[in-house]
Amino acid sequence: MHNKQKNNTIMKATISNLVVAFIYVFIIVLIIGILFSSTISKAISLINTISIDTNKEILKDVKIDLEHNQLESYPEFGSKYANIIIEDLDINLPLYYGDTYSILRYGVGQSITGYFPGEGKSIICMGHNSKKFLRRLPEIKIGTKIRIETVYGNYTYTVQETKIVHQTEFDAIKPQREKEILTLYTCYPVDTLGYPTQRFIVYAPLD
Amino acid sequence: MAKKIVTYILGFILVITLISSISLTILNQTILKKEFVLNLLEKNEYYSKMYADIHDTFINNTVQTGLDESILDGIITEEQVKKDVNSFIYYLYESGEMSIDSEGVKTRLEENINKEIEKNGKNLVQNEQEAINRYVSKIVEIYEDGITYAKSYAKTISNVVQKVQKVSNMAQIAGYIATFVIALILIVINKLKVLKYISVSVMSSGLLLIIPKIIEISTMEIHNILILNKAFSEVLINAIEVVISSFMITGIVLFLIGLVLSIIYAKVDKE
Repeated sequence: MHNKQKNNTIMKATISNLVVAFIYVFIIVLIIGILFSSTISKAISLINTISIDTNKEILKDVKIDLEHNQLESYPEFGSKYANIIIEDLDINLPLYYGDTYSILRYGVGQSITGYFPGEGKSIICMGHNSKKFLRRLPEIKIGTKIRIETVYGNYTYTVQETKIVHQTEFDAIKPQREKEILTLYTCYPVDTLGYPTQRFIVYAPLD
Repeated sequence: MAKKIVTYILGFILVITLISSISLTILNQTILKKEFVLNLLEKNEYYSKMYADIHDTFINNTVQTGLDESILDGIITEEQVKKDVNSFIYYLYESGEMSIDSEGVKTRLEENINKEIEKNGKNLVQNEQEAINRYVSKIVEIYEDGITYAKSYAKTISNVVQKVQKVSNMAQIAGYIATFVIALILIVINKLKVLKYISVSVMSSGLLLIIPKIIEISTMEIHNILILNKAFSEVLINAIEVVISSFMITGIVLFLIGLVLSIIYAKVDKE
């Protein structure tokens, strides 16, 4: 009986110490919360912003809202969502969303500054000038058809104009919203060694 | 009554000094320690991943040049990448000289390009020579950025790291001295009862050190961090995990020590 009472007293004392410990913790957390809450939430949000789940699978569920000329869901950055075909030049290349060097290694890249086929605005695409990709693009003629077969529909464009510009003339590849026009370009001249400083650009409005 | 209030306030300050000292010790022994970072790089196979990553970026930048990818053969090796990365880490933590083999990369690449041009019997025109020079400079820049991420900021980062190291070391010592002094004052005020207040402070410190782990589990997606490249991200994730786990383990140990001290005191007090 005496032992039980002793144990109860020890337990009570320990619990009371624990309560005080929790009160200290609560006060300190409260002080930190008041002083640094915005810094802490910024840090957490920053970490969550740079926490990305990459999914580079081909997406089958990209759909277009035909009434509003707008995609309902967009392809993941870096994913292949279409093929770009120029039959006259024997070109049939995968089209990826994004235009980083690592994407351009596998096909034609679509700039994120532009829009998607079917959206009624500029679609800006580029590819390397090597044999595997767009080496033959400068052979293209006015009136040549360029087809983009996406996972949500097929679109045909007709070449209206070609241009050679210096790499710093960004206005030549600026997106516009008035009409659907495909801007496709590669480095020029195509048979040179090293880094070419010019770009061969094709402008092709939607049929 | 006044003595009790003073004791509780001192106990509260003891928690702050204890937790600050322990946190700084953990940081000084982990991310602020050169050996820890080097060990982490080795453990995460950072050097071989970085070598593959840099080589891959070289290829990405060669595809459009009309040159064969074979010109990249042997221009960098995994050993060289390791040596240069380590040199950069030493520079960050200890200052001194940072030696990156940029000149070697440039020379080997130029030799390979010349061999390729000779093999194909091509005569370069001035424009092509300029375009090749631009390509070589780009490859050297990619190598330097691959090793240091931002060479132009290396000096600033190094200064910041060394300043933080210095301040953190001093603050750690100051924290332990303050903890010791407050504990002494508590002993003088409370004699044997000091065990009770110290046990409460130790338990509180332990609980507080567990909080970062709770935040990590409930609000952060540390495992998905993707910054700069995969190799760097893996090292960063690992470093964050090690630091948070160290906090948690120390927290649990402190809490248990505090709990045992509290039980011992209650027992002694009863007797």
